[in-house]
Amino acid sequence: MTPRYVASFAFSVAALVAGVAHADDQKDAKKPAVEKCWGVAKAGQNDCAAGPGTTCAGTAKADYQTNAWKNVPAGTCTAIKTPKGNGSLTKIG
Amino acid sequence: MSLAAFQREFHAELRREVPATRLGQQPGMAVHRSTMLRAAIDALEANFPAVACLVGQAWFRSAAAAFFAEHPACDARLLAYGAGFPEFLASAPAAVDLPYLANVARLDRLWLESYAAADAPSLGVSAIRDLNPNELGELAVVPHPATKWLSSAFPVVAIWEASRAGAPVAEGMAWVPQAAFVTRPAMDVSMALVDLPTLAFLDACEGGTTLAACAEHVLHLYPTARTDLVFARLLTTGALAAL
Repeated sequence: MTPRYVASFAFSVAALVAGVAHADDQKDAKKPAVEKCWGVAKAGQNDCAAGPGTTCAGTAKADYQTNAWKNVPAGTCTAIKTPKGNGSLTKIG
Repeated sequence: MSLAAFQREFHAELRREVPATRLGQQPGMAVHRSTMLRAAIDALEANFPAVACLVGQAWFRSAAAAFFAEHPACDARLLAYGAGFPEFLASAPAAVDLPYLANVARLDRLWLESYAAADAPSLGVSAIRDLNPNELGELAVVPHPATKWLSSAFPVVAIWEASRAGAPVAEGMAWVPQAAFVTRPAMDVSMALVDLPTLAFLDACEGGTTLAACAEHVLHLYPTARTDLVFARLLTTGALAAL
């Protein structure tokens, strides 16, 4: 390790440490988190998982399929009402 | 004929101008050929909305048909169709008057790649807050799979944003080079402008390296850059992943 390297390593790390602090301050301003909500996606609008034979996002064949999930703002899933009942945080059936 | 053999022949006939087998001579094959072409054009139009807005539907669909003739879809997931479309536009004689078109197409493509990228935990503040400076410097990182970037000689982000919304570009838009930064914080694809030091950081970690090496690379190229702000932005946008 050359002295030149030590100096630039220390300098770089100082910037990184300051960066962590900046990011820490900004954390509260971030977008709300999302949670996977099963059984609330309209046909073709699921974010993922619609069972065997499908490729993933956008493949739910029917509205409110219980094996398809959609990202919704955290804390709102189970309050979502559909004609087939409320959303679920776990896969139904 | 086995089902697999039938399917292979059917697929080969779909691609033939002149039928080579009895199957291909059936009048119904024309319907299947037309359906396949239509599906590919529809998919390209859906996958490249900013390009479609810039050139108009008629131009776009004829360009898409020409692209399909050279590059048929070979993945059932049509979301993935069109990887070579930006290059195709870059060399299309009909697009020489729109030198920025290929870059706008690349942004449409990067948006899709980010949208469909694999899930992976992002490097966040909580994971590194308690590291001592040496540990922080030695932490190896890569760009998150959903992080994409592109540097352009044109104001490509401004053109892309307006076109994506179906609007003309703002009056008096500055004709300056722009670089784009695509991230997917909270599973939502975001397109933003980015400065050169941030691009240098991403370039440095693309193959996987330590945070200190990335920061040194930035400081070497841009001695006055605010590397701390660059790193903070990469953390808050979830642009990095621990290796």
